[in-house]
Amino acid sequence: MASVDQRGVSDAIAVTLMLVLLVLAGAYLHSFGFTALPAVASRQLQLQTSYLYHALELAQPENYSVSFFRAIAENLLDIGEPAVPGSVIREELSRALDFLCPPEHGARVELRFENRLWVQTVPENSAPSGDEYVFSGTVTLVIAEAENHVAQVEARVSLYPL
Amino acid sequence: MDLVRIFRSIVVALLVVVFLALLVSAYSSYRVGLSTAKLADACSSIANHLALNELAYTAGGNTVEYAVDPSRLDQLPELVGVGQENYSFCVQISTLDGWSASHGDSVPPDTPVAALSLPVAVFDNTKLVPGVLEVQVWRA
Repeated sequence: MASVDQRGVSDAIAVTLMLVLLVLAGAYLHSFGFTALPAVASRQLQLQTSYLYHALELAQPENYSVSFFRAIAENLLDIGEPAVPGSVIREELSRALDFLCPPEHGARVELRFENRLWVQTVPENSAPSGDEYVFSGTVTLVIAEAENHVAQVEARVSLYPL
Repeated sequence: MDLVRIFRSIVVALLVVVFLALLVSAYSSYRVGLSTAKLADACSSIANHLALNELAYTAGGNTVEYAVDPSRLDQLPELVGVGQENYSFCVQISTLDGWSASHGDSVPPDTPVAALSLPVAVFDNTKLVPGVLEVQVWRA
């Protein structure tokens, strides 16, 4: 049996422990260098999501003079003839999202009025698998009927890595 | 016994040296990461400032935020200060129908650059169309 004076076994254990500690400390120290960059990417995606929302709120599809959100809201409300037919705005929105969406990211546009829902994703049928960056607001339409009233359509835009 | 002590001392000294090298390397990597993050944040800040102020489309005296007017590209300054640092930048505005305009110097070689593309509405003289504002930023 090894005595304390011989120290063969205890030295081997001490050196191994120190090596393990060194590897752990190295991994821990290096992990600090990589925490800032994912946070920046996350902030940029949140910014891009809010800009995508406002771009769709302001920009108009080709050959029409109402914004994307207003055109979709008119189709959702189902009041009279919408300024842009449903099939046309769906195609135009898909084209716009393809262009506006950051590379390697998917986008989802959702407008809701009471129990009616308009959902569109790019690429088609894609879904967020992890992080999702969301910006939401309301689209207000004044409906001129027998009695004027205001309809508020909830709009939600999200971006997610593919 | 002396040989064992010498060996043990050498191993401990070696571990201490490796640990110090690791510490220096980790600090250096931390500084690079922080500097890159700072540049990327400055890029976001500059792109946001351009879209909401310097390039914002004005209709009837009112500024329309998130809509950019390409005719204001020529009025942009050469440098922008963020925090205590000055940054150079170049801007490109492109629209869905393939039109594009740019402003600013080209990126100097071997310079760290941060880039950001923001979806915006672009004023094309008659209406607001979907477009992208792309900003590239580097330290002046």
